[in-house]
Amino acid sequence: MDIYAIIDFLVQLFIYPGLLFIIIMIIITQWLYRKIGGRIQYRRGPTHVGPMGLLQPFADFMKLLIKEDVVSKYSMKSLPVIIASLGVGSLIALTLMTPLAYNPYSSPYDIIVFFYLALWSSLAIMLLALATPNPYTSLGAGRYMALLVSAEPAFIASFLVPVIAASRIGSVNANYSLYLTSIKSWIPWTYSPLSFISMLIAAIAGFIAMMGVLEIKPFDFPEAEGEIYWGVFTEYGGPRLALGFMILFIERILIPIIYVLLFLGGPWPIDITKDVAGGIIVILLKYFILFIFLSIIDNVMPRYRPDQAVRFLWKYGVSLATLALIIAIFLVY
Amino acid sequence: MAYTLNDPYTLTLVITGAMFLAGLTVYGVFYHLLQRIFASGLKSKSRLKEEIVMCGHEYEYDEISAPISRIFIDIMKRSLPKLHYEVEERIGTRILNDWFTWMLVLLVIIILLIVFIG
Repeated sequence: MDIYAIIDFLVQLFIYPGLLFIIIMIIITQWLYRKIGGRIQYRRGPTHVGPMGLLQPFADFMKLLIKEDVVSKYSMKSLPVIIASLGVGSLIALTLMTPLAYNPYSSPYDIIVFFYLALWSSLAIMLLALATPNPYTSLGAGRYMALLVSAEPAFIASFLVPVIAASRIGSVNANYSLYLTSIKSWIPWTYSPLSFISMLIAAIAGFIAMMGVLEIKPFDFPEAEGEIYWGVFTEYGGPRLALGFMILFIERILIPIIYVLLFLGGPWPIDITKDVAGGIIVILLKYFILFIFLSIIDNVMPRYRPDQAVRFLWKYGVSLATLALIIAIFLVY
Repeated sequence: MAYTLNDPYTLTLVITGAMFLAGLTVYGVFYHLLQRIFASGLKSKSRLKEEIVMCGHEYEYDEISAPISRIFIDIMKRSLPKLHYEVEERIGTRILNDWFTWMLVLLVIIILLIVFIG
């Protein structure tokens, strides 16, 4: 690897589409989320800090980061912070594999690396919960475990469908790569009736599973602020809470972006291999539309009980995703 | 220009390296450095910060730990009663109650799906 490749790697990791870009995206998406929540609840949302209150999420984030780090004597001290930081790091590293990167990293079968990185962030939240002894935190951790075993199989099965379909279609030959699937993910929608059906079923199952993974209502029972006082995060404040929130907020950016890439055509109608900037703008536009939709759902839906949510995710999410997977494996070629 | 690597193992190493680099930077800057600059004057010597569990209520260590696995088992039992009965009573395995096994099985299924069917 020459020096330019290393510099390019570092620039992509820390500036675009890595750390700095993700922080800017957190500010924009959280401002948008709060504005949407405000409008739905007949409030104005953030207005004071920065133009139109745009810097309010940044101010809140900084407030948490520079607060005193309070740890109870029965909690783990350093390990949760390191694991949470690695959870943030796993999501930032994931951006290098998407077409958002101007020089993305890919290889055959790299979709498994995407699942591994996505699972890292979920496990980081789990460890945050296990690191503090508190009845509400334990309730949150138990609920989060139940959510993961219900949402993750549906998430993985449904997100595999476009990758398998694109890899089995000769003209695409995506080779089970996230990047190669992303740039031609519109082809399985139009290739044959069976590939269209598998994509449609997987898109529905994937949307349900994505809501579960992102803890969007009605699946936010691991936090359930009205019942178990934020569950997983009950004991946390200051910088530890900031890092925990950072994982959640980055997940709400990256998982919908991956959904856009795999199910909503990615950069289509622009060929991102010829027009990188145009393709990225199209991806971000699609993402913001999806994010607004998810934010509206999160603000208007009531919350499921844990058993209702788990049953719903198995009944509709897992079964539909499995059906789509079977069609993609055996009938699309 | 995309960096297309020949095998997923090298990519896993590169991306995991990126993950550790980004994670340690986040830890170093957002946690360590900012705490040292801004919060060094805030260190309270009060014992209150050690007894903040349970919102300041008195507690014993045994009282504050709820059995997480039982909460998980209970949710699974209530959510999927038929499946739970079939798997646990008929087949005789307690796999549904073991969260770690669930996740391990999931990982094995993904690898098998991608490698063999691919």
